[in-house]
Amino acid sequence: MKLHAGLLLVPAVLFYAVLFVWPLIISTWGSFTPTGKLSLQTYTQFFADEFYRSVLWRSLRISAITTLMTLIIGYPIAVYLSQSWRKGRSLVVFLVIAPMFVSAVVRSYGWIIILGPNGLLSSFTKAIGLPMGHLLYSEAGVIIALTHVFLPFMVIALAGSLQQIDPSLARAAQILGANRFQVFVRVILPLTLPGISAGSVIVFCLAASGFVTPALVGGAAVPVMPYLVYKEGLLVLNWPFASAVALILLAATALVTAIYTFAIRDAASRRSVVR
Amino acid sequence: MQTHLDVRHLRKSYGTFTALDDVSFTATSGEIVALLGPSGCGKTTLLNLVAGFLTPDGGSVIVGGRDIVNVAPHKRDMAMVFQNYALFPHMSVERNVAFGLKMRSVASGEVTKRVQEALELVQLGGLGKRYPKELSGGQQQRVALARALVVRPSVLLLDEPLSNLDALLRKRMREEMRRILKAANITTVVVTHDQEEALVSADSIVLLASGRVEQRSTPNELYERPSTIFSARFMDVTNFLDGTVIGHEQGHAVIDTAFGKLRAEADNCTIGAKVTVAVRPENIAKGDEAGENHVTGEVVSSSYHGPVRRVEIQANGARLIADIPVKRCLSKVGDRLSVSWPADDTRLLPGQGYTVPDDKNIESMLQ
Repeated sequence: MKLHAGLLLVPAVLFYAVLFVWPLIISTWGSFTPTGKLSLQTYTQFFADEFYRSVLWRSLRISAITTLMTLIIGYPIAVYLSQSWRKGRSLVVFLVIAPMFVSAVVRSYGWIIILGPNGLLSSFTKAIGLPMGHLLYSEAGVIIALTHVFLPFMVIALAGSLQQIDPSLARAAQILGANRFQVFVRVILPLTLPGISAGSVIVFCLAASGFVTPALVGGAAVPVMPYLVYKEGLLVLNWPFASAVALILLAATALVTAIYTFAIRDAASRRSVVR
Repeated sequence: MQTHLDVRHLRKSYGTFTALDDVSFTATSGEIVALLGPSGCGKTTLLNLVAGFLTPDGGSVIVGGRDIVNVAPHKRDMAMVFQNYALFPHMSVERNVAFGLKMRSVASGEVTKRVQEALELVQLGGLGKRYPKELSGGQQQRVALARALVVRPSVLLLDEPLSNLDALLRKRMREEMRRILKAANITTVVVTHDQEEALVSADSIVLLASGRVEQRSTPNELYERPSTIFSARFMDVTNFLDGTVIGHEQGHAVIDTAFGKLRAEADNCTIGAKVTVAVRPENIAKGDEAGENHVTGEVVSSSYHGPVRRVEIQANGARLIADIPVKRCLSKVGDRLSVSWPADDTRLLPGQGYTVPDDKNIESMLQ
């Protein structure tokens, strides 16, 4: 008996079909039939309104900045973790992964305590004579909290691609005359572009679709797309519009990550061409 | 010839393990020096100290009269071929070879010209646009060599450069590598565990054992006149007999051994000294006419080795291994066999206590 390899995917396909594809189809259909007839009404309503456009723009901006922050903070950590001779690696791995052990709600309340009006951060800045108010219910606060949550994903993606780099490549570059900076820019960085790409896509998508953290740390003052979906769908009960918002977010995220992935692949291949 | 590379009294320990203990060697300009030894002898540590990837606990590395022991690797004006070649996978062959020139800020017109010359030198003229993963192992090895040669380094370092090639290609490449290095007249330090590779490709050999220099000499001298039991064993001598020097005769030393009186080369020789007599299996011939030394014994093993048959003869509790050309050898196990060899092919080595290498020993020598 010859078992078709495709059979191995049957459980996953069923799972996705029932819990992802089918709801997606219903939502899509619903968003185009707000009154029972086919129309673009929900979409025109969204894009005609300055407020809704600003929410989309904020979601993309918060996600992009969060991605950039995790990249900047995560890269050095990943480099540290990829150096097998470092002691204390397992402690760093634990510290990086630790946020994932805590539920999003608990973690967000932690940030509320730190970022709040009389929280750690504002007390500290007051104490050193540089009062800067508080970051709770601000975009900066949401970005800080999201960066904290999604840093592990970036670190894991980067460390994976750094670990695949043969350590003798850095030595080869060094002995041929490259200083540390040149070794990084010409050898290490180009070889980690796939890891950067993967980590960025994961973090961007998670940040764009994250609900709990922006809702608790940002609240109604920092409305993002998932918050809008929640409000329209569960509070206003305007399901067609909520579906439209969800699909707009999905399309925007897909577009951004597609452009980003393509740009990185292009950079990687252009680097390989002799100038 | 002027000394170009002068390595003096290098020491390096890792915790309680002494990797290198007071190692010195020199290379004249354009000379190829092989660092030879079994795994764990410290040869790779030594190469990494010369490259600057490691800092020694003591000693100096002098190139062209300047001590560079505290100079960072990228400022040493060296180049290196790594055991796994370490080609940059994201760069074409041309860009790999151009890398060192760009780091040295060579003008781009000059880069193109020199890259082309280097690729032609290693006979890869048409493959510049390929990527490393599209090349065979032998081609990758040549790219690595071209990438190192193109910068005209003051010292070229080769770390087991041929060990990842299959046996036939390795044999061809070691001669070709020597030809290329000699044509480029670059001072080279090559690390290898393969004595044949060292003999073929180097001008001089530093034999290392447990972090110390065991013997330093030309390939010919190391092979013909090993100075210690370790050197001799590493150079394929298989017969070692304990003996005592009892006199001199016609320019030869006379030694009392389990096989009776044997004659040997007369250096290292004070009457009464406890010595080891060493003789290569291929110098031993069937019959009585081959030389001054004679042994007759029982054949205890006999095995086919292509051109020769390796027979082991036992007499008076001692054993002797001889490689006899197959056509002349009809002896079977249990037969009596007489063999002989010249006194001039018999080495006297200081000290005694040669032990037949056990499996672990042999493994470590073959590594």
